[in-house]
Amino acid sequence: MAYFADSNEVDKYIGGVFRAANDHAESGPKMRAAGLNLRVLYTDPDTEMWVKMHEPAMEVHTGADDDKADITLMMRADTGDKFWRGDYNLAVGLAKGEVKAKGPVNKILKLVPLTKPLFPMYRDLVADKDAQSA
Amino acid sequence: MATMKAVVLREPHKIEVMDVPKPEITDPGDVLMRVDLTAICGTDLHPFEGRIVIEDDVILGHEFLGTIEAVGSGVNLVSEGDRAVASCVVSCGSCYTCRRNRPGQCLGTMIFGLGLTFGSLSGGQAEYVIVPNADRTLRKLPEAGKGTDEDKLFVGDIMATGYEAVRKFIQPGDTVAVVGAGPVGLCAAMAANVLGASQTIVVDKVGVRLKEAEAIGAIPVNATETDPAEAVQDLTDWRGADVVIDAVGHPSALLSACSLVRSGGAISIPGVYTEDSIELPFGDLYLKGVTIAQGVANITNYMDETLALIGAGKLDPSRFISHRMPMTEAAEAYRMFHEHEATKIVLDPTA
Repeated sequence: MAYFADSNEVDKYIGGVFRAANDHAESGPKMRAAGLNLRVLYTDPDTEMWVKMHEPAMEVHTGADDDKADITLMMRADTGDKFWRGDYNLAVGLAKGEVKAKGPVNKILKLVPLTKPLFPMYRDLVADKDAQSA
Repeated sequence: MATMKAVVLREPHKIEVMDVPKPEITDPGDVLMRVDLTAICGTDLHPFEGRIVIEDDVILGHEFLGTIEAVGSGVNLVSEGDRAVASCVVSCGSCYTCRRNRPGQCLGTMIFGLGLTFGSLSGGQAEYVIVPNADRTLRKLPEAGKGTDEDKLFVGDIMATGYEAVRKFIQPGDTVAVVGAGPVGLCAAMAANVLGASQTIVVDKVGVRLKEAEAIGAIPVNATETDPAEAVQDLTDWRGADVVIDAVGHPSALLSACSLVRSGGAISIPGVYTEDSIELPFGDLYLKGVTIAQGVANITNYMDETLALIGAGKLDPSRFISHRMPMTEAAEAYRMFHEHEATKIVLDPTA
């Protein structure tokens, strides 16, 4: 059974950590400075998420967008959940084809380390949901 | 909880030797290795200097050899008590690019000590390290033959990297020009001699490094005194070098490499680039029909060859070691390497 009930929950929790990232003292300024449009195509439930990393503030929304994505990732929403909990090895996922990526590798590699300081924030975000399903 | 000492990058430019939890096997393909010898590589300077961004508190190091202390249930080729050297790059062996014999471009490339981006593998500048996918990643150290541990240590990175850069393109009798007499450049020059170069030219600006190149039979060219392109033209009957190695990883070195290569020749780039884009004399490269190859080295493809050549006494990369230090002095070692006060530093994890 998928962890997220619907795309609203994907937006609330995974979108939520990206929104919170904007105000993270360490990762927020670096993400905004990246000047990238990140598009993530989650499946199960199907959710298209856009993370626009630009100054003065990051924008996060779900649904289609006419903008051009610099980086596009595709994965199951459950994989996204595991990643943000710090329980998923992205390198292994890429090798297995569980995660697919389009866009300049160089830019993707620079973004990945910025996510680690956000893992505790994500765990806080999903704590209530975890408690309800426990 | 059992602990061990490890070299931890707390943040850029801040190294500490700390007590951290001793790692444990978590996957059937893992081995737990007790590290006998480890080295600081130029690539370690990328996170140290903040040029590659990694998260804080990563155990550094991807050049190491040691003794197997425990093996996962899926490991077949090494056993407890064996001594082995690890490839710095861990590949899956199964993905599209691995199946095409390009483990350096594995879709799930993992590199020891480079953080979350490269698979969250703790590095080998530690008393113990977990080596994943060990049957692919490790090579047992041959007991017979020539070569020391310090020679064999380098088949996991700089020796195999320099060797591959040359071997991809060389034909017997070729002129090989190497830009950059750092450890990888010197290993490439040493490999060129073994692989049949008629002459090996090494370009650098540092006299002591050029002396080392000369000592292994290369022709040194000091770029502060001589135009390298003119020197290479003079040595090749105005043709240019058949194979040029950019062992630096800086746009100025790549431009220099472009000026050294002959028509129809090849530029091989083991140097690491992280720039988004670089300006190149592309019309010149096009008209000369130059082949360019680069990327993370396919280390595991060349570990057996380089170990065999060390065993035969034909490669001895340990001669490039300038300093041997206890691991407890890692902070000073990194400072020296960063300040170009050392060519190659080996750390003893037991001291």
